[in-house]
Amino acid sequence: MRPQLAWRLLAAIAGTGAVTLPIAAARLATARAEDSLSERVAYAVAGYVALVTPAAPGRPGYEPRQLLVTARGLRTLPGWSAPVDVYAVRTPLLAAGGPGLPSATWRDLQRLESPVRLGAGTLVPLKDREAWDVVGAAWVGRRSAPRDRRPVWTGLAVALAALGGVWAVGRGRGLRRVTMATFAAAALVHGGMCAAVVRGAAAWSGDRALRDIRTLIGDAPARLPVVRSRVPLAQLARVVQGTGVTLAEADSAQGTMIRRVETARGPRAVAPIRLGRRRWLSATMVPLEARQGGWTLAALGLALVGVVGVAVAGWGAVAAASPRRLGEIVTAWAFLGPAALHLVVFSFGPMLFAAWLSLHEWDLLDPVRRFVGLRNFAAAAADPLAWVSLRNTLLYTLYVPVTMMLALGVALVLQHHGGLTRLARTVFFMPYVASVVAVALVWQWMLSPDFGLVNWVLGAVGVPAVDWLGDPHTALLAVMVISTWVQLGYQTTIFVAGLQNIPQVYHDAARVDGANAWQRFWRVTLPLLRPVTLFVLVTGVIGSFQVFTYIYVLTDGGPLHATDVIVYRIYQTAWEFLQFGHASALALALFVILLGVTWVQFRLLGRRVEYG
Amino acid sequence: MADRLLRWMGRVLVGLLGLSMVAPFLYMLSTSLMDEFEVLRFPPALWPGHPRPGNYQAALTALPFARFFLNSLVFAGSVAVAQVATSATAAYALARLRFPGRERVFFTVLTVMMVPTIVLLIPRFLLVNALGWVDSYAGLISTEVVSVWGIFLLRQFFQTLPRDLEDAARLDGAGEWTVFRRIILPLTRPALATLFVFAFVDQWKNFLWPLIVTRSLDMQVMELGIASFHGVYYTNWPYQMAAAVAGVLPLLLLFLVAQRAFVRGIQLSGLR
Repeated sequence: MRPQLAWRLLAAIAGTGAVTLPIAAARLATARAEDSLSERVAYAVAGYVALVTPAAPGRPGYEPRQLLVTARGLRTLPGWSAPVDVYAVRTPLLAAGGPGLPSATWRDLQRLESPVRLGAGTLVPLKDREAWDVVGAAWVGRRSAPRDRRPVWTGLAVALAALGGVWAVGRGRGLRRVTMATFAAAALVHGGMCAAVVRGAAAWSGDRALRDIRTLIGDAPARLPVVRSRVPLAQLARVVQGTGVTLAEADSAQGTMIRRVETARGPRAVAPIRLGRRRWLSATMVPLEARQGGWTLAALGLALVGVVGVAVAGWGAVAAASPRRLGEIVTAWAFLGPAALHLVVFSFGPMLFAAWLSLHEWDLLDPVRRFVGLRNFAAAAADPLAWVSLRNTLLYTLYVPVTMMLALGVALVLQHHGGLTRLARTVFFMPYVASVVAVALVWQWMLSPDFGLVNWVLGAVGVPAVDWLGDPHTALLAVMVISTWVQLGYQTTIFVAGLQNIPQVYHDAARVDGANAWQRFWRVTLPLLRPVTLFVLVTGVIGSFQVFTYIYVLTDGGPLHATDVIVYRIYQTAWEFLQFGHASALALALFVILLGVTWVQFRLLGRRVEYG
Repeated sequence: MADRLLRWMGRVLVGLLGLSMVAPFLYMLSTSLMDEFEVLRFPPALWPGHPRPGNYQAALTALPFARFFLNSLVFAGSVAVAQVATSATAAYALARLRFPGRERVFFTVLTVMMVPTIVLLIPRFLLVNALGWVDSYAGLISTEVVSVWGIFLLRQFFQTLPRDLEDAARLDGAGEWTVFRRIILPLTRPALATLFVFAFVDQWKNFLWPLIVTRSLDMQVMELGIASFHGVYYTNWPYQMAAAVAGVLPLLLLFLVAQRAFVRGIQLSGLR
């Protein structure tokens, strides 16, 4: 059975991937965290050097001998563990006689003033005291986070489970299911473990950076070229420039531990710093582990890629046993492919993304997307405008049943008129195919309070002039009338088709039994029309919940929020206030309400209709 | 006797309703030809004293309406073509080809219909934004390329077709693609036309997505153009109505030409 072997080989490769890919992702993420540590500390060293080294008299840069003293001092700082070096222009001071900076690197440092990877560490520009020119560089070597061996064990478990999966390829369906479930569970645990390792390494790197920065800041005041009794905070801030750390005065320290604090802007890591006998500062930064969401997803996703691979191999082995069927399946998916791919990318993906968004704080400018749990939903529920818009939407929806009654009436009149029906259908359908904005505009013109056609016609009957769209009491009603005008023809067309589908024998039978037109309508037509009625109602209500264009063009949700509907609220929240998470929560709430409303409609009208 | 009276009353009412359907269009047309001050009269003038076709030229060149029109045409046209293509192939697989999980796939696809557009709009916008497609044709078109309604409609239609012809072709050794191209597509031309006109009209009328995903004047579609024109010439009703006529006319013409396709589409979707 050679083909079986090929499928097993594929499964084995996928299984190996499930073990190694998450580990590789974890390694990569750990290396990134360690680089981030080097970079932050290098910036702090550059700031420290600039703060404590006297400037050379008469020219940019530092007094060379003093610079050497500062650099040497770095290595004797208490608790200092980082490999470090300071470059005066391109010459290393501590690794005396070591290679100078390559000229390309130096040019980049001067021009871009951004960090450069050099050797096993990170190089950042060192500027003069006025922070004007790049006069050298600070280099900090990479330190390894403590290695966490736990993924090895989960990886072994996954490997075993994968072996089971490979073994089950080509065997019974039940067996494949069991092994695949085991495999998937193991892979998830493995992915989760790798993600935990990433978070651990990130937390270690972040804390290490905070400790080093604390050491530098604690040491700086004693070495300042001009000794002062109380160093201003702004001066010390030079040390944390580029490190992502902010300094603040603190009242008293709660120990010397680095704490995790939950703030309104998200989690923060806070390190207390003792400056003197009575003076404490606090150094605050976003903890690195809070930024590893992407890597967590990557580790879990990569673990599951292997699972999918083994599953496909198992399924392929079965399909390969009957090549004709395999061909059919491949053909079918080739036909489905374009639509399926698009649906995954632009519909199913966005659905999941919307759910994710609703649990996060997201605006276009702030790169940190903070997890806020159900707070977006709570905010929506506490927002009176959201409730106003919900009430308006529900009121607006009432136009659907009203239009349906009208449409059914028109359909009943039209159903027996042959040529006249076609003409009427054309006339009634026109508003539905007309441009929405154009329709909105002509109605706004006709409803205008001073010169409008509608007020003139109504005035002829004795109704006083009304500012239809400008009065909070009538604005929503006016929009509803316009919607009825637009939808009437569409609904009529469906009802006419539905009426024509009712077999004539039922009407005849009722007539023979002596039923008059009224009774025939209630006892025969309406019950038999129920599926059509349900369809019109459900689709109409779904459409009415999503009304937007009329509101946007005619009233902007006003006057006094009288026409503020849900979709308009979502639009404003997202694209005017840029609160995409909040808007997503509102949209999901709308979805749930709509599901409920639809369900109620099916319960009320959805009974199966028996013909006879 | 009462029956006849009722019937006559019904006809009169329907006649009046029909009149109210046409009246706004006629009034749109007549206002578009009026003098700027003729509209500021009460009782309102129903027909211009001296029709001014020049309004159209003035209004339609005040903003680049030719460009808007082209954009609408490209947007609605390419979406309609793409929807017909993707719906036809997908519906063919779902109606005719056998593969494991076919019904499940079909129902999964249908669930998309239950989700309100606005739920998808936000993530789709962020996706398009991340791809750098905001304010481009790619951004406008990419999200609308597949219509679940279209897949559903064509699948229903394919299922009503007799299988004999296809089976004969398959016996002659034709592959599925040949069967699809040579037999199924010609037989479904009316349904394809229906899907095309509905998709075209839907996208031409689409307001929210273009509003979100376009920024520059050059990328605006007709609907947006008329709306922004409304913002600029707020009080000049003749100009606004001229722009409105320009927005309404293409769709009305399409409707008059392809009326049967529209009606068939409604009947197909409304009555299963």
